[in-house]
Amino acid sequence: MRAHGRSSPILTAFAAAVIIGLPLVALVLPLPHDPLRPDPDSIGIAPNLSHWFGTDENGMDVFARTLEAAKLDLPIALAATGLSLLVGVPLGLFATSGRAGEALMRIVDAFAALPIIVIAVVSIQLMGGGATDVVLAIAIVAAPRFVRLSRAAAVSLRSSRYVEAAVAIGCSPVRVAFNHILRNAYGVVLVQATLTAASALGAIAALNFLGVGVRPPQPTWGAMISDGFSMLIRGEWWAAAFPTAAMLLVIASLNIVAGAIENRIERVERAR
Amino acid sequence: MALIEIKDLRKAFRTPQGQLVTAVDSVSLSVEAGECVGIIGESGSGKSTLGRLILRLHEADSGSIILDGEDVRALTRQQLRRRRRHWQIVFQEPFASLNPRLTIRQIVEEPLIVARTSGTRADRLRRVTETLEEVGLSADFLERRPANLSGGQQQRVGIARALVTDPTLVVLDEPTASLDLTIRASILRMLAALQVSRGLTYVFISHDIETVRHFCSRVAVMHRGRFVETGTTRQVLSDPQQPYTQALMLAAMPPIPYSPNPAGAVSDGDSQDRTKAGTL
Repeated sequence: MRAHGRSSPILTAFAAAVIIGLPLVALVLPLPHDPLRPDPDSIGIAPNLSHWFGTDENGMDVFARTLEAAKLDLPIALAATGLSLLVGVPLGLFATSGRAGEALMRIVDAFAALPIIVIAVVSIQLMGGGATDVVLAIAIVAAPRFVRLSRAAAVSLRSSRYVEAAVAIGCSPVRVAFNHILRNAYGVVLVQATLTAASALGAIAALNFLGVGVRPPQPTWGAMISDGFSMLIRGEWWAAAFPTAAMLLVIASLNIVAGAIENRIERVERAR
Repeated sequence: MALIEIKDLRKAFRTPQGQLVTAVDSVSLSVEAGECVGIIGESGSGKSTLGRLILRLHEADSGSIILDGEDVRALTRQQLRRRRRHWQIVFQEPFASLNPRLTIRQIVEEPLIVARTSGTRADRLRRVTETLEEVGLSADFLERRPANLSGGQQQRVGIARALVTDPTLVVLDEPTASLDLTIRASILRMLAALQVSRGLTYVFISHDIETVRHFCSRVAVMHRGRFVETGTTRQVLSDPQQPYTQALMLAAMPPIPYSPNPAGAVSDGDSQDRTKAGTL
């Protein structure tokens, strides 16, 4: 999952606006309908002027629920990414040598060998099923990637002259790790973080689709797609299509931002 | 008392193939304060390793290192970090030794920050500016990054970083080897001037006999991790006793006889130095 090619500034700005704007809109603007109140009189209505995205099989407004879901999906995805960054990066930076480092890397390898969704489902089954458990489950899956990435940077830069120079002037190991190693590797970490947030969204949806993770009545895109799935057979496409579109829009936006960061790094590197 | 007192220092590395290679073998050296001692030898002779052992950037296998009366090998890591401000190093590759993301100000300021010396930011900035001036860089360079500097300027930054905490000892690990000939002479002259004005002690590591000849008062010739010959520079280089030193002298570029040929002169600094070398 790497972004290629040049990114246009307008597209990047739009992508950033989507990521930041969507949950804000849901928070600030009044929704046209209550996203949590079922209405037996308006079940399975096709998109119209009152229900822009139609209603689902419980008679709840799909537009309101799609926006409402952003309030849950995006913070969970971002929190999970943040947590895996906070845990993974320091571990990777300091696990460059010694037995503890080796042991950690074997654990990371073991995690990498297992299918992501299996780990997530198992850990959620063990923990429960609230939003924090979903965050933890995704962080457990994503953190090893950051361990690997930052460890690779640390190992390659550890032998560089300027890191040796930093040791020679009396920098502490923590200062060397953050001021000298991470400072020269934060770009790749940032790209990975953006991509992790995108795949976290997919994971949240997958978990909901499988029936674990955040429970109703709060909508998530995954749960909405799962519910709307059964309506597809009747030709009622809107209940699944709109949350899918919203999720894809955000995932695409995150990828565009990742690509823009990568481009910027390349430009800076070439300017040297 | 000697500033550096090294006894029977030994260091072996293990190659990826598992072979044990002795980089430094039973080296003893004593350097008085204010002296400049040259360590000379071909690449792979262990001279750079020796420089790093003295500052404990590498851990020696055995032997003793006394700097300023302090047993360096007995210091804890934290004690060692505290002392580093007194014992500095300038590296061979100026660009590689500077963090490309940092500005010149940040690079030269960092030793002061980690040494927790002079209090305020303003004090530190003043020290940084003064030191940069001492190595011939104006305040215009403060906010620039290493990539925007020439090789010579980069090495001046490396020297400023080493000097900003007022060290007593500076290990110069081939500080001019990767610079143009023209810049080499001016950097060497500056280093020599700084040694006098600051009363520094230098350990000057080089493979270039001519440089060592007019830079160092004493010299040690290193071959396969051992000192094969030591003495005053004049003694060793004008009348080498050991076959290896003689071979090293022969392998070096013969001094160009002075010829009054203006077209042949590369530049002021360079040609002056050559002349001096010829008459020494």
